[in-house]
Amino acid sequence: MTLTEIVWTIIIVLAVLLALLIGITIWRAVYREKRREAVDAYIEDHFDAWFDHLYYGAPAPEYDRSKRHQRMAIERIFSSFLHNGHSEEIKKRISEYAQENFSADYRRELKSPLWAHRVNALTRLSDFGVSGFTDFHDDRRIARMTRFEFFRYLIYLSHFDMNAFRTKFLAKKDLTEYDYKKIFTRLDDDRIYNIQSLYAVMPDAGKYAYIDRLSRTGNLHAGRWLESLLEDDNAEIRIRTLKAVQTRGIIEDPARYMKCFTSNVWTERMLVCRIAPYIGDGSIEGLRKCAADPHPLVRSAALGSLKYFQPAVMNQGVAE
Amino acid sequence: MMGTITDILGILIIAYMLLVIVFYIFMMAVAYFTLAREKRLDQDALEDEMQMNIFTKPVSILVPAYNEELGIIESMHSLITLRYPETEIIIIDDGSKDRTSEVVMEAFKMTPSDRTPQADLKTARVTAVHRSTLHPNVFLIQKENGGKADALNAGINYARYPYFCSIDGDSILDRNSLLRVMQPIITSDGQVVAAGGNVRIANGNDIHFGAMEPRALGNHPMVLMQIVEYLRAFMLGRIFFSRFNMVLIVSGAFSIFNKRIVIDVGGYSADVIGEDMELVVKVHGWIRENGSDERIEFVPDPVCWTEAPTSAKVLRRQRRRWAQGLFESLWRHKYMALNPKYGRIGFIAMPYFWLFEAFGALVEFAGYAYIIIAFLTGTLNTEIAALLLLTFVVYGSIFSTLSLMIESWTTHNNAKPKSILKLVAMSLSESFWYRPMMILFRLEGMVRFFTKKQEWGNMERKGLGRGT
Repeated sequence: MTLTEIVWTIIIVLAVLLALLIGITIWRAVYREKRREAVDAYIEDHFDAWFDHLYYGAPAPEYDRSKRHQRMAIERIFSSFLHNGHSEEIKKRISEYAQENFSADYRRELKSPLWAHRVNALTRLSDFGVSGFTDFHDDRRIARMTRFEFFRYLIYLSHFDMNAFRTKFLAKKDLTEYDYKKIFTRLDDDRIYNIQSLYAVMPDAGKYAYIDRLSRTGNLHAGRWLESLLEDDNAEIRIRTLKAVQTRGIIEDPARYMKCFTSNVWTERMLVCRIAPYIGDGSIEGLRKCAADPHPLVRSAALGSLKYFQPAVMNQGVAE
Repeated sequence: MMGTITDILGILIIAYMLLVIVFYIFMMAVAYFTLAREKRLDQDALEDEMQMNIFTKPVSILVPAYNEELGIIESMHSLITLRYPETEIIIIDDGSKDRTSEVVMEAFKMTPSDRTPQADLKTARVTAVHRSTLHPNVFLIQKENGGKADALNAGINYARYPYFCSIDGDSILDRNSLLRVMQPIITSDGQVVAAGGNVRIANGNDIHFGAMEPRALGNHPMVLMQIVEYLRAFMLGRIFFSRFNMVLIVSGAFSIFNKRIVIDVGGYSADVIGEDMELVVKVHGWIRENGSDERIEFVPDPVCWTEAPTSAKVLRRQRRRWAQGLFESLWRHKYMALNPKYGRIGFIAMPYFWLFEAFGALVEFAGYAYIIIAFLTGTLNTEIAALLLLTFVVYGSIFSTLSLMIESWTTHNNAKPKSILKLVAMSLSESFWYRPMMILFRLEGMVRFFTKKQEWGNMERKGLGRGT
């Protein structure tokens, strides 16, 4: 074959391939547009009926399982109600409907080889409150999960089965602090205390998220437990603890904070200066030392907090 | 003898083109699999969750503006209506000669503010700071002219949030853009320290109070070609490099950075023309030198709409500026190339940009010249010329068409079939008019680098919106 013939062959092959690919692209675009129109049309035609069903318990509109676009439209309607309103009745009706009509689809999707399908199914199971899937994933399946998939799985477990959650929670340790925060935020105070015994074996990201979550509980026990973390060797733990205490605004044992004023970590010194007004008069000496700190943010925090103690400071000055 | 030398030259150019094509095929495959995996994910549900959660980090949106009176208000409306829990918007008027400041102050009822800078990057003098009484999170900084980089540095000095988003004064963001581009930063606990979003051409679309309403594609060949070009650049290059933490360019039109790190590297460099690439390369250098595992990512979904040049004159200024900026950054950081200390950046990204992006225009120019001379004079090897033309068509038109298709298959852009066909037709013509034009502009940029000419040129905005 001459070079010219080779070139022509390549041109013809490329032209045929390209025509085929362009044809597939156009077909997919047409299909996608039709489906989108079908979903929009369903929502337009049935939104009022769904409103009546979810708010007033009227009979739900007909659902044809063979038409995928109907399920997509209904899921979009459900998400819209869940994200734009708050009503236990609506949540209950959505959960019941999804349980009855979509469980089989979600079960199939959880087994899908496509990662996105599995994640979507887990998201919807959590969002719509569909129970019955806590035993679905065995250890082998969990080991194969990506980080994000595992995160969604834990969120699901945290809704329905705290025992399973406690068992599986530390199966993977590569979740980010953000992931842990999202999980812990969804747990009520009782459930958060329920997993306190796991704190010691949590990865650092989990510990930071746990401390942050505890900062938003009102229980006195939480405060005492947090203050015990001020003895931790990890400076970041101590810093997060001080931030959590600042958020709570409750001091149990002022004596525990004194050594923070002389910490060799400037962030710790700064944070303890900020919470000094909660600690009380015992912190004045520490604040005075920090007012001459080499770090400007520590000095600024110390001087800011000293303002709260001005009369006591003045009295002390007068007494001296 | 002469014939042999030119044949060898022709063969070398073909070999170069084949190397590029093989690399592009690999890049395209990675882009396809990366996007296809995420395509079926229900992004709306995830975004609703991100929007409502309390862990989303606040962002300072910096809008450097120079003579943007035509488009600044629509741009501002798009920023004010962004779906994001907490932002502040800082417009930096870089000594505009038109009514940019006046227009902003009237529209947003601004009054003098006593806000002070929180960092001390060196910039031209700031003459006034104003705050909006209608939207208290909107600020206007007026300063002496110092260039885009200088304006951004002034914005960084006054920004109070840990992340800042740089956006051009005439760009429009989709409502979810900031949420999407911040997603990798938030979910990685800050390990992703910078992210760039997808930039699209807005010419011909309608804008109502900052919201883009796509219309049918226009027929302006220059604009259509740029749409294809942007798609190709993002689909081919950015996704591949992002996958392996080798992104060297995040678009200056829409990018997010960790403020502390940018201050550590000295902010934007005001003495280069491509300040966006320069900053990204500096941040990569910082990451390597600190031995940390932070990343810079490109997020394909979020969209920033920008105005593309509609005349060859303005397009020329833009492209030669980009080419010049590329050379400047690569030259300034040439110590990274093939340096083991810089890992993949040094061994893959830098050599790629030197060989294919920087000097590619020279090689392509030689190839086109060879083809033209061969066919006009019949003295050169016409078979080699035909093969060379084929590689150019594959490299140009075919890859652009494939990029369009991948984008259609793997994203949620919902382009209509008629638009896809129009763009396909356009991209098939690329190698025969648009690409040679771009080669000349890029060569001009290269020459300007070597002769050290520094100027932005007037971008001649028409303003987005109302079918411009």
